[in-house]
Amino acid sequence: MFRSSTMTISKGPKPMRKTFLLLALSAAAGGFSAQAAVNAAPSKEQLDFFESKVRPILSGKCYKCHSLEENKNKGGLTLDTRPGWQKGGDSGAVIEPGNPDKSALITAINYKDPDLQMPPKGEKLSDAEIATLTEWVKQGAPDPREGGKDIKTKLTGLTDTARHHWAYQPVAKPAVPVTQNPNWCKTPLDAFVLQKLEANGMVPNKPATKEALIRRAYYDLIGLPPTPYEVADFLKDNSPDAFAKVVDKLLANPHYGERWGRHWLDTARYSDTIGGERNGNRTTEYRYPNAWTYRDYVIKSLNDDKPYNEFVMEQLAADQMPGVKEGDPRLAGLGFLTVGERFRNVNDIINDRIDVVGKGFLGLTVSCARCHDHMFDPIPTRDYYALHGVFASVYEPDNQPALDNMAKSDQLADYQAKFAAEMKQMQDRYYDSVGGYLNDFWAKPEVYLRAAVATAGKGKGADAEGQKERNALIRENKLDDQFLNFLSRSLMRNTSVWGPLYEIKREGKFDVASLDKMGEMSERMAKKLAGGKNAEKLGEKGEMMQKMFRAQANKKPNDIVVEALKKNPPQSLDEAIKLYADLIRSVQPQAKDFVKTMRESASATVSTYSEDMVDLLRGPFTVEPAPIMTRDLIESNYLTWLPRMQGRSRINFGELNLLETSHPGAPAKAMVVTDRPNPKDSPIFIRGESQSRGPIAPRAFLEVLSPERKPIPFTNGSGRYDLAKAIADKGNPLTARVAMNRLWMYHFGDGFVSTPDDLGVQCGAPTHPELLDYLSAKFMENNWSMKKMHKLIMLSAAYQQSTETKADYEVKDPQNHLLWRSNIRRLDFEAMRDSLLSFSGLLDQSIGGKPVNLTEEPYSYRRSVYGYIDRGNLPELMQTFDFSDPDMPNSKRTSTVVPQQALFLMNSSMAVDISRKLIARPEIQKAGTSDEKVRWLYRIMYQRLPTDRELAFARNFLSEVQGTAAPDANTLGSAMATPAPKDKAAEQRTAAIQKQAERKRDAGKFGAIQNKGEVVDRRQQTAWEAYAQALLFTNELAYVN
Amino acid sequence: MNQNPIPNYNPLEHLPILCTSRREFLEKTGMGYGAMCLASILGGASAMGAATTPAPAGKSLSPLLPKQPHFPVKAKHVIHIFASGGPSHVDTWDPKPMLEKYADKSIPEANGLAFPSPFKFEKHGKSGIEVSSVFPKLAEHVDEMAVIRSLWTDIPAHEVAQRFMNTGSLQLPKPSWGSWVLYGLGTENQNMPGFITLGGKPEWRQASFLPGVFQGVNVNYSTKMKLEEVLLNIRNQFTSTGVQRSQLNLAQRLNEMHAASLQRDEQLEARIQAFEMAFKMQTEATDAFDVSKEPQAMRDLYGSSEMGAKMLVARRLVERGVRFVQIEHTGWDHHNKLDEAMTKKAGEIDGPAAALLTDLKQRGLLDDTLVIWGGEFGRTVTRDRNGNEVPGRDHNGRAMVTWMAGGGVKGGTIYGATDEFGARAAVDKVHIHDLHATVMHLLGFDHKKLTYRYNGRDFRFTDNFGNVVKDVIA
Repeated sequence: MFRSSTMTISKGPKPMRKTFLLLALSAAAGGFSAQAAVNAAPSKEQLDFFESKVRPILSGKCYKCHSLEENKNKGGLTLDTRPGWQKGGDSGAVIEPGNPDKSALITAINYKDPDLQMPPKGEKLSDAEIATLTEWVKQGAPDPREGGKDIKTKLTGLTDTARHHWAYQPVAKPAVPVTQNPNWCKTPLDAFVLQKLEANGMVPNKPATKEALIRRAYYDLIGLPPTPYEVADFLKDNSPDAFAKVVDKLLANPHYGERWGRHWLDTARYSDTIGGERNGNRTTEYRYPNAWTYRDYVIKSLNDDKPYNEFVMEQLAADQMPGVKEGDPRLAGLGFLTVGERFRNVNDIINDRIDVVGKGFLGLTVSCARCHDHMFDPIPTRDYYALHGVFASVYEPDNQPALDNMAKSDQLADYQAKFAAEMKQMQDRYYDSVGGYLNDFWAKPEVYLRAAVATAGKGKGADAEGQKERNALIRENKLDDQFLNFLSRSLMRNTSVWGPLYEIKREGKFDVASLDKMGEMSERMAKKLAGGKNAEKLGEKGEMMQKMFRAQANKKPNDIVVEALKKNPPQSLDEAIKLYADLIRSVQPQAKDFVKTMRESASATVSTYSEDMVDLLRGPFTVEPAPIMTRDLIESNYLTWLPRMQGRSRINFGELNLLETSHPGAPAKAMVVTDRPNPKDSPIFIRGESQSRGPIAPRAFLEVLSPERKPIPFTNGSGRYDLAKAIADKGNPLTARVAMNRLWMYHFGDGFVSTPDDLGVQCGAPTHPELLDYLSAKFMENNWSMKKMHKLIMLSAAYQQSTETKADYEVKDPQNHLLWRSNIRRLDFEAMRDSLLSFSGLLDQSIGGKPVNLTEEPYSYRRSVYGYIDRGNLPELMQTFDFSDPDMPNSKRTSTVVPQQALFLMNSSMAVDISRKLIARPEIQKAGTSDEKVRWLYRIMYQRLPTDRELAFARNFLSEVQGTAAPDANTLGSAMATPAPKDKAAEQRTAAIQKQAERKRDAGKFGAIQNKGEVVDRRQQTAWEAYAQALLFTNELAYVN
Repeated sequence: MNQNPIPNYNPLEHLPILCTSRREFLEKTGMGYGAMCLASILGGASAMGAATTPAPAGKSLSPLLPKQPHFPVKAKHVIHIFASGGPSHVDTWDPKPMLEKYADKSIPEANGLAFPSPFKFEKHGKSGIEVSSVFPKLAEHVDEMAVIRSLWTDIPAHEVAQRFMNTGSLQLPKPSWGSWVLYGLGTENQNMPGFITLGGKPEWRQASFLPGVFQGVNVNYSTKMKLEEVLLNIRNQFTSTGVQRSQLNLAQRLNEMHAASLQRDEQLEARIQAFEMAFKMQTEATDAFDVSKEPQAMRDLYGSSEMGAKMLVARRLVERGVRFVQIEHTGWDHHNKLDEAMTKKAGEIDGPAAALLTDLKQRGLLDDTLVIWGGEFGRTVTRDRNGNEVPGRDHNGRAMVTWMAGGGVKGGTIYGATDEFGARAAVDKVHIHDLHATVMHLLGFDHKKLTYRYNGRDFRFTDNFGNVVKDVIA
């Protein structure tokens, strides 16, 4: 049955191919110099010349790197088609037909320009070959090679066709269409839907039952099922606005913000951890202790029905919004920018922010333009780097602001005490390590110094020789080689003390007069770092290092050292080493209590030692008085050396990080960004490579969304506020459409555009373009109120249709694009888990707060939106249930069906716990008959009553398992409160698991956040419990219809 | 009224087009080509997600059903032994006598002291492939192996290079190797996951943008672990199998009634199947991990070590039709004490991997099972600066080695070569993308054509690169 052709698709679906053709045509029609000459058919002679002489050179020497067919286009240039060279490479045209002198290709093959030599690496063409190509260009470069059908021209979105894509046109409110059956329409929206159905000769489905409708509304708006009582009330209410009342009630319910907040968190790629490389190292600060304040900000904003335009602006620039003061809860919105993955390269972090802004607010894959102009959308690389400049001009301050609105915990004092103790321990470990190493160093200064400078040689092979020498020293003196590595690097950087020693090692001599110029060396290094690619890669760390070197450069030579050097100028390395060693020995009286004094100092300055003395005594380490040795300082120092050195005190920064993340008394802080004092435009990185700088891209908004496509440069600080305003502007054609498309998607199962984070050219046409525009216009008219839009949609007849299917319509419109019915939708992870908790009566209804562990015992009964999301280690259960990948914006979840999902419901202690607590609910306990119990279970779980057949199924099941399952505590009619009979073995198992869970909590710094509480009793299930659990398995429960 | 507010925009063009063929319908499902190719395999039914196509009665709808690749080949299963940390090539499968000559001297173009391998190399088998003394037992299998000595990778940093080896991507999250294979081939045993990992990072088994069903299932297998702990929720501690069967029967009866009122829906149908597979997995999957069911002689062959048990489990999984098995063997990052560390790590895998090859061959499974060994990069041929007295080697992306056996590989092959010191791949260089392309080829795929549409683009495992190394294919 398999047809390989269907699997081997390498072309896009139809809309894309069409786009491609248009693009290709428009590219071909573009103006090229000497176009006419080239396009004129080559003469027979020219053809012969080309085929016999030119083509062999091109294919033999150039195609290797410049061939479309081979998929090689170094420098953006291809030479195997005429359009390829006509288009040119990244740096422009390469052949000017008729003019070899002005053709870069000819320059390159002549090796005239040292930076442009082709073919590279000395594979220069022969003189004859060069002459041939020069002659060819002189002739006007006659070239018969067409693009050919299967050879793709480079795709580009910088075309008028792309600019005319529907989503880039202004939103205009369309007229409500006239339909044949206006009676069906409850809202203007319905007319749009009905018109399309009628045009296709179809009629809408009948309305859903009231039971189905209320269940749908609850799951849609609050992500929880209605209680039996809420269903009963609705069924009783025969007023025409019964459903409107339900909708109003739900929109006012604070669970609304939790449900819709979670949708937005999918878009915002929310996570409580940094991801990337450090995420796996549990001794680092890999968690975001305050990410949850962003999550709560989102929930609250939605509950408050904050106008969406404000919501957008706050997430980009809350700190610059009018009236926002320190501690303002709105500052937490900036977490949108900061909760992304932390890459090592700062440009990747910036890319993440551009990506989330582009996809999240604008439905545009702006980040595709990082390495080349966008292939489909009119987004030039310049646009990308215009935004790059914005985000390169912000930083995250070390001290995040505490938020005012968060309830102050009575455990603040406890937290502060624990934090202080943890800090103290961290400092102690730091000083202990430093003290230990310094003692070693001071005990054998000659050997250490000799070994430290051994590899600082000059000339070829010096490094290898130095290594040999050092190895010998290590062996003979049993030195700590890891420490030594650090020592040699660190001393080299402290030029005011150790510079002369390195100088004499390198140069073989030392001129005392040069002492006055010692700063120059450091300045050179600082400059190297500032300009080099290292600084780029190192990001903020690079900046810190530059600062360090600069400070070093400005520092005058150490007086103690200068005095010693002047007194007795060393003539050789041996003498210099002896001089330094003697110096170290001479200051031993001061050294004795050095670390202790620093550690015990309550003041930030210590007068016992002069600055120069400290600089000498500290050796390779940073040793400051305790009040100055902050966590950040210790961490930045420690991370550069201690992890590589074994055998001393280890510092676990994960502990402090855990305390901040999970201690209830830890103050809530906002993960803000701040503009740098000197915002800068970024240059374009050619091919995305930070080393290849192109022209500067002034900070500005996207070209295609700017008036007359002329971006106005951003002028306020980094430009974040300008960017926010441009996105939230009513004239922006995308912002409202993107929001309304998502809103519709979450209500209907699919949007008008099925790629909610990409409304660009690739998304094709929306199913109901006028309706999308109507909703978008209405949204803005309603002052960007989401809640008004929910209500408008939910009161529509379209929304209230049943899910039943019709065979002929399935053939006509299997995807239900025309909305002839409602779609059935599987509960997502959160709705599924929250439903279980709700059935059992266990659900903790409190709003907001620090994250909890969703997947491990002891279970949390909080809603799933409060789960701790570790992007580096997403729990298997969440992956199994298609939780949104927190590495990138992802507004649409997949919905897979895998056996592991079934195993969770069948075997997990959570599922058993739920069914147990469900049976223990008073409604079930009090029910007088078996049938009555079943009825209650159906009311609670399915929001309806069982049929007679279903009642019979229940009776059969119970009798079938009677005797196999554990006996229920109650027989029917007797008191249900009697506890189940004792099961010694189960009790022991439970106790063991409890113990295990507690051990895990103690070891929580290595694991996820651990909850407190009891694990699930391991006793055997009773027949009723097994029955309740079986009801959890059904499709009816797992799907909203 | 303003009928046409958008210039150059004809609303008529944007009317949804009614599908005229099943294929077109599938193209529009938004499920990408995964669903599409599946549907063609299933002969009329689409896969997950497509809302409601009437399903032919009795047809299973799992996207994991076996599928034919592009062309017929031998390899049907993969066992990837991933030596994470970056094993040295010049101490294992790539002898470099020149290093002896330069011992403790600096090598041209390499700043550091040449560090000759402390191990002796000898020729083995008919092919006479030289193997280091750390692999005495694997050396007996060289005639089954193709040793690629000219492999290289882009960035010699663990995290990145490991991601690259396992997902073909340096940076962005992409589907893992196993997920691509499962997506392309499905799996033979519907009672078992088709892609199982024994250890390793989640991103090495992620389905990423492929449907979640193709994600690898990690099994925290260890000989110290109780059988029921190895798969999440595989064992029920509260209910007997009999009661659980009754529960499922009841649920399925209710599902039928539910389906009858909604009419048939594929997703609902697939979910019913998933419960049945889950039920069977409890015995079948657990059984696969129960090496105590093997005869003593077999257990002796593999040995009682962790790696021994894992290799044996790998064979049991493949035997049961699992498509892709990955075993992580950690600890190859030998910056110092190379002599000691290499002896230890190689010793852990030598016997067990040799036993695996022997066993697979005896059972006739080696023909269709591709066994791959290798890490994420190679090592420097000079001393690591931190190694000093007990030296090791630093990371090196320019040269590394891997071997493959079985599954259509041309045995007794040495492919490519590094330069005279082993510092970098020099002859017939094989990039990681090329290795991936070659493995996909061995499995019957044109790596350029196994694609999945996501975010408006067709993605493939080898990105825009990869050349098949034909010379290692039998």
